[in-house]
Amino acid sequence: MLSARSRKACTIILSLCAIGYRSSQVSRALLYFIADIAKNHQVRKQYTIQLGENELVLKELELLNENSNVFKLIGPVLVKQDLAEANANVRKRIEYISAELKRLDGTLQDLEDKQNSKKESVSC
Amino acid sequence: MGDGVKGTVTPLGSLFSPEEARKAAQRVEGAVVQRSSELRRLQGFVSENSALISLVRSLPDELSHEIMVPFGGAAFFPGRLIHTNEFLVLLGDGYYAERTAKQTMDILHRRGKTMEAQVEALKATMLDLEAEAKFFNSTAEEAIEGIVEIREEYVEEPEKNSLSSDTVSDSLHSCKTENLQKLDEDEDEDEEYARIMARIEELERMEELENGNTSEDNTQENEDTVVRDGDGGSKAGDEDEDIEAGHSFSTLDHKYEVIEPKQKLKDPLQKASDQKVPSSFISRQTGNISKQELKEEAFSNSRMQFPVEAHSFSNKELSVGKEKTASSPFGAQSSVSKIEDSPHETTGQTLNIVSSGRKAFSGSIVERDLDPQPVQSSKNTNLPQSSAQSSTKPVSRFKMQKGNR
Repeated sequence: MLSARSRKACTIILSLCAIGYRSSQVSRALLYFIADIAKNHQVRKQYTIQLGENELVLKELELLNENSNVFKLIGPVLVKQDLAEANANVRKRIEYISAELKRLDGTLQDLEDKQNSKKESVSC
Repeated sequence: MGDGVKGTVTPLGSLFSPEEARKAAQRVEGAVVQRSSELRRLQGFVSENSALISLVRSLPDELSHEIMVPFGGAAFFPGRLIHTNEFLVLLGDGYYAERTAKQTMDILHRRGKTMEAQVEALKATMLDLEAEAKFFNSTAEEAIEGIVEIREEYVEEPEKNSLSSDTVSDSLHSCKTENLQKLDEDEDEDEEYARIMARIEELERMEELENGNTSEDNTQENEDTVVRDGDGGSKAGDEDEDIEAGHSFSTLDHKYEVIEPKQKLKDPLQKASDQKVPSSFISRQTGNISKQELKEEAFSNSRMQFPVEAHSFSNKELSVGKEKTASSPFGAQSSVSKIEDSPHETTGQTLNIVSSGRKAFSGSIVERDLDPQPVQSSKNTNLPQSSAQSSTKPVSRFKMQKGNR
């Protein structure tokens, strides 16, 4: 069973083949590079959306009174949470997502460099 | 264009092949389509949000509402909605907060604002993409049509006019450039004029740097206030630094940089090699004028005092060497008027007054040994001053006249 990401990578490779990348000039490695970069973009987009959402939540939480009730939806259960606890959790999550994004950026840069060098070696 | 200028002719099609351009355009259009679907989605959210806001606003109107409660996947049963002021609002990422109706509306309102900002950003990117696509398409069309790109070596022409006009146009005001352009038309007269003007500009700038802003009260500065005229045309060669008659008028009417030009003119005045402005004369002149207190308010008073002078100045506005824009409405700003003939009251000497029209009259009047020209030039007469005459842009006569009357 293909995961969504690998499915996407495959579709990219297929589409590239359709455009005519079947030529021997473009090696499979290059194709995989392209697919990997596309995957990376996708994941990054996801993370960015989550980051934005969490920042909104944090803003709203800050506007709440001390005695307001905060609940968290865990599966089908609404669990009452402490306001301070909720704040801390959301902040931690934001940090985590930012770190993930940075890591992905590094990976992306890596992939692109490798791809370029591969391209040059192939074309020469 | 010189005959021996080398150049290359490249068909645009070779630079950007039309097929590639079309492909690029298509790619961009695909991106545009993608963005527009995203945009539609966002706009759906926005409308949903506003509907929700109105619902939340109306719920607390009643203690309880009779409703049909959904039960399971396909059933309803009649029930009542109670606690109509308590809402569990989804903050995002699985977090809910218990809030009143009013607070809920605030939350929704803020959410709506964020979404609208996103919509705007998306629209902006779409516009950019569309512009890009249009550009690609037009390039493709041009390439197909066979438009060629011609490149030639640039040979700088030793034309004084162009030089001077360039220097002149460097001056601040657009009016200047306007006037300058007009000046450029008369190439014959321009040469010397341009040279002179360029020099004056330089001097003014130097002086400006040295002196900085000075108060208008300073009579010395008044001299400089010769209306440098933003046009830059005002600098008429050497002696033309005379000024100001226009300044005072213009300052009253318009508050333009009064101080700057004061300084500028000083240098040219002092450095005017061609003419030695008799200091006595100048001081006399300035003395007359300084009484006026070149301040703007004072000037209005002084205007009364020197009706003749003012009048004469205004009348004497002469475009330097050119018959243009003498009556430019911007005269106050940047017109430089050369005033020939000393004001009748003061002396019988010819005065060349370069007035920027903006500066208060600083009283610097440079005496010139030029053939006196009729002072009473009508408002709109721009007596061309050729050769030695400093080319000055005519101060807006209207201004002056308005002041005079």
